Amino acid sequence: MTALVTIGIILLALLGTPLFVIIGSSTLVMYFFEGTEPALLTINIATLATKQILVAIPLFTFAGYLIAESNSPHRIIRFARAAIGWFPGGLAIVALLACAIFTAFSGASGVTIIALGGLLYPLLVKEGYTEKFALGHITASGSAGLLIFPAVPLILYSIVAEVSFDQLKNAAILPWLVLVGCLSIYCIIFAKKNNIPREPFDKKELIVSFWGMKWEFAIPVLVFGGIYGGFVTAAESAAITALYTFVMTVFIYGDIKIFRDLPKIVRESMSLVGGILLILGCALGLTNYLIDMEVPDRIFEYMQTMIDNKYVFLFALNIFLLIVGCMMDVFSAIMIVVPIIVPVAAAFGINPLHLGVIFLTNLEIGYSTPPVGLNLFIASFRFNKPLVSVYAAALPFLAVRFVVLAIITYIPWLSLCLIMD
Amino acid sequence: MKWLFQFDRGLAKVELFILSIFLLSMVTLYSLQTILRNVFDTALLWIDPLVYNMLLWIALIGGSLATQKEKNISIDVTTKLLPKNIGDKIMVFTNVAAAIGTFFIASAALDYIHFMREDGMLESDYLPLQLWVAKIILPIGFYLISLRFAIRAIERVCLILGLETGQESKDEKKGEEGK
Repeated sequence: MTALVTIGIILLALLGTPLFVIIGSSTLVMYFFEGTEPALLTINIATLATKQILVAIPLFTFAGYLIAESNSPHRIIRFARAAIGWFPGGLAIVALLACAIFTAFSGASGVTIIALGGLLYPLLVKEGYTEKFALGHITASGSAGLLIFPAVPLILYSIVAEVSFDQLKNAAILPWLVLVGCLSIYCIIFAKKNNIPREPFDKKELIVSFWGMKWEFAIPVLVFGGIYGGFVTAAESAAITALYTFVMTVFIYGDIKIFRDLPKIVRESMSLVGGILLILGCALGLTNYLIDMEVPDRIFEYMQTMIDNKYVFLFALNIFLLIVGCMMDVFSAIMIVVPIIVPVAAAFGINPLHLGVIFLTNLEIGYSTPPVGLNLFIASFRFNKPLVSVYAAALPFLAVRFVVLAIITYIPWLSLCLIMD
Repeated sequence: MKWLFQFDRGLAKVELFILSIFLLSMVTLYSLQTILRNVFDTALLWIDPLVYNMLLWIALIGGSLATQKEKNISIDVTTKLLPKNIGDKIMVFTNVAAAIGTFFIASAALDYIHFMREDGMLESDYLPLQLWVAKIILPIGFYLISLRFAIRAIERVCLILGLETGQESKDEKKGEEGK
């Protein structure tokens, strides 16, 4: 009977039934067999209203969507071009950084491809980059922001794995720099090899574009200064950022009209947030149950019979997470897989913070891995290109990312040196 | 059947209005609290529990709006790879299954509210609000979502049968999905 129900639920999940329903119903089914009160599921969902850090999720997402719908991306990219466009591969690096930071704010790399892609793709092609490069670069860059604050996946991992958010965000700094560094080197090599013309350095344009985005400059100061400086918590930083972004886009620039644009922005951003939080609530119910049933311990015992050292385990984990990252979006993957993997990995002697960095890097690669990585579909839709050409375009960038993944996975020092006292 | 879809869209407008009020209040209140805490070294103690509960309301109403546009997070590998006409039929089935599943989740939430009501607990020492009132969105929200799944299933059937729904076409919707 249990096996039949399990197969039914897995089938429904694969057919596209929303994940919160799958997780919530599975939990209720298990409670039913155990004779547990169904209200226990709701007690777990209600704990969403007890965690301060969760407040950061709607607030940062709202700020991210406000920026996406305003003219800020134009202003920011104009400045970034003036600042590093003269460098070989400069424009491609601008695109990479813009996408990464944008994803960190909006919480979803799909939104980045939609919002920035229309701006960056023609720009790259106009400056002499091949269409294939531009397509692959934008598709893959969207997910480069998962490791930096205030990316929602980073916040979610800290909640689900029960690790300190402060430590996790610090653990992710160096791995993110390695990732962005390697991708930038690839951009430079590509630009040099293909003789992409460099833009001349224009001091006047730099000053004018800097002045043009003077209001946007306060955002990184508020977000990164406050949080990395340790002055405010993530949720506090989110509130101030959301308020500032709202005032900036609505009242200072007037890019966002309250009655014309705001309802759409609230709707789009909070649909995403609602979707994430519903899964999180239901997943808290399920994972508490699985841990009570000692499921992670049993998985560890089983794995020990096949895997005897941590490096083999890490390799198996990489492969497993790539498949998960392809099939699921990063939020659901964190909420479903992390609670089971963390205890197993800990038993193999892997630090949960290092695991978090591996996890997020893996999932962001999964996002643009053929055949079903989510970003590939979004890019194909956004740029009106056949899926197969998006696959081909994304491959060189994937290769770079695999190298970075190996570095991050097998050199734990990168993730742990900034948090070791 | 048109009235059902009109009702659905009307309901979405009300939800969006409430959602906007909650979100903007959350931004304002929590910014105020942050400034009070970090600049003036004081705090209004009722703001934190109030904002945390607003999060729950935002989650449920946001989830309901996501359901209205079929934008819930799911593993939609199968429907992406299958031809559209088969995908549409599968979505009728998954929407019906989701409506049933969510109905049970909502009923569990209603049980929870009954327990909390009998208990008579306050939400927090600093927020003079009955706990069950603060959490009442749980059953309401899940029942609404369940209803929305049912409406989506009916809408899909209408589309398959070529009946009028008054909605923009599903292809246009698909286009929006990328967002």
